[in-house]
Amino acid sequence: MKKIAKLALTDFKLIFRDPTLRSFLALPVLLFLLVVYLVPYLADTYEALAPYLPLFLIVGAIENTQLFCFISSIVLIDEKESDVAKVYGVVPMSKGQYILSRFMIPYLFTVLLNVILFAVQPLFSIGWGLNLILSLLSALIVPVYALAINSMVENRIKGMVYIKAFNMVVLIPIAAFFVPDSFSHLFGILPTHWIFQSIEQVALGSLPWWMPLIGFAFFAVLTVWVARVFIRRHFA
Amino acid sequence: MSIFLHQLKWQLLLLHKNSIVTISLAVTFIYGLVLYGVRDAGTLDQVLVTIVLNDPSVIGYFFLALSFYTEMKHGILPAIFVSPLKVHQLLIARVLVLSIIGTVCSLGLAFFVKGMDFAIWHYAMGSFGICVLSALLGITMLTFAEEFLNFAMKSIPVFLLFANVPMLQYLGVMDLGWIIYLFPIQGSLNLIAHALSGTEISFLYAYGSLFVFVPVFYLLGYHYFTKRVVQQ
Repeated sequence: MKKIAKLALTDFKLIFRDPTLRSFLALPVLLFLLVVYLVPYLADTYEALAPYLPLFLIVGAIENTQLFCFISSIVLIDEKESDVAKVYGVVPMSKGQYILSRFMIPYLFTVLLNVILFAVQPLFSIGWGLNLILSLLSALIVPVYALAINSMVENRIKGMVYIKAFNMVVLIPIAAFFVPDSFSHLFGILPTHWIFQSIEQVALGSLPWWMPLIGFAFFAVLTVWVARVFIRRHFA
Repeated sequence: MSIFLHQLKWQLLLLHKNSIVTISLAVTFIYGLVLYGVRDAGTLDQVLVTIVLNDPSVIGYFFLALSFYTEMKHGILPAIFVSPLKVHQLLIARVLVLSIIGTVCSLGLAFFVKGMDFAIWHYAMGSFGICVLSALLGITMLTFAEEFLNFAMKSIPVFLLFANVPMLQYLGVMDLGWIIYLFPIQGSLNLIAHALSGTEISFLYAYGSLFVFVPVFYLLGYHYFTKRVVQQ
C-alpha cells in the first residue's frame, strides 16, 4: 500500500510539472462561482428555470469529474505515445496496483471537489452523509472514463475524438428528465443515469437506497471490465 | 487543381483513419435521436442552434489544430513544406474537409428536428460559414501555443468571444445592439436562425459578412502559419 501511495503521489506531481495541466485545476473554482452566483441569479430572473435546478447541479457534478477524466486520459495517452507505458508494463508491481496508483488521487480529488460543490451550492439542502454518497458515486466516472479511452486509442488525435464522444455519452441520461417517467429508466443502461437520478432524488428530498446502490454496483462491474481490457491493450 | 483534389481526398482519408468522421457522425446521430425524442417538448430551434455553435464548429477548430500539432511533434510538417505541395493547398484542403464534415453534422441535426421543413440552403451556408471561420481561427490560434493543451487553454476565452457571445445574444441573454454585427459568425448565425425559424434578416449583411470575414480570417491564418510555423 505504501508503494502504491508513493507512486500515486509521484504520478500526481506530473500534473504540476506541466503548466497547462496545472492551469486546468483552476476550472473547478470557476465552476463553483457559476453554481454559487450565476445559477441562483438565473433562477431568480427566469422563473421557468425552477424545475430544472437539479439539472444544473447534475451538470456541475459531472463537470467536476470531467477535469480528471481529461487529465488522466491525456497523461496516459502521452505515456502510450512516448512508449513510457511499456516501461510501466515491466515495473515490479501488479497491473492492478498500477491502476490503483494512477487513479487513487484523481478519484479522491474528484470526490473532494464534489463534496465542496454539494456543500457550497445554495440551491438545495444536502446533508453530509448524502453529500458523501453522491460524491463517492459521481467520482467513479473518472477511472472508467480514462481506462476506457486508453483501451481504445493509440494517439492523441483519436484520444480527443473519443473524449468528445465520451463527454456526450456521459451526459446522455439527462434526456431521461425530458421523457415520460415510465421510460426514464431506459437510460439506466448507461451508468451515469444512476448518478443523475440519485442527485435529483436528493435534491427533491428523498433518496431511495437502491438507486445509488445500483450505481455503485454498475460502476464496480464496469471498472473491473474496462481495467481488464486496459491491461490487455495499454502495455503492448 | 488535380493536386488540390488529391489533397482533399488524402485529408479526408487522414481524418477517417483517426475516427473523426465516424465519431462525428455517431455523435450527430445520438444528438439527433435525443432531439427527436424530445421534439414535442417545445420549440427546439434554440437548442439546435446552441448545439451547432458548440459541436460541429468545434470539430474544425480543435481537430485542425490537433492534426497540425501531431504533425509538428512527429516532424511531418517540415517534410510537407519541402514537397511540391503549396501551403495554400494544404490549409484550404484541411479547412474544407473539416468544414464539410461539420456542415454535414449540422444538417443531420436539423433533419432530425425539422425533417425537411427548413430552408436547407441558407442553413447549410450558415453552418458552413461557422465551420470555415472556426477552422481558420484555429490556424491563427495554433501559432500562438507550443502544444495542444496550451492551445486548448488559450482557446477558452477566444472561443467564448467568437461563438458564445453571438449565441447568448441569439438566446436573448444579452443585447449588444449594433456591435453584434461586428462578430464574424453573426452573419452565419442569422442565416441559420432564418432557415430554422423564419426570423427576418438582411441577406446582404449575412452573405456579405461571409464574403468579408472568410478571406480576412484566411489571410490572417496564412500569415501567422507561414511566419510562425513554416519559416521556423
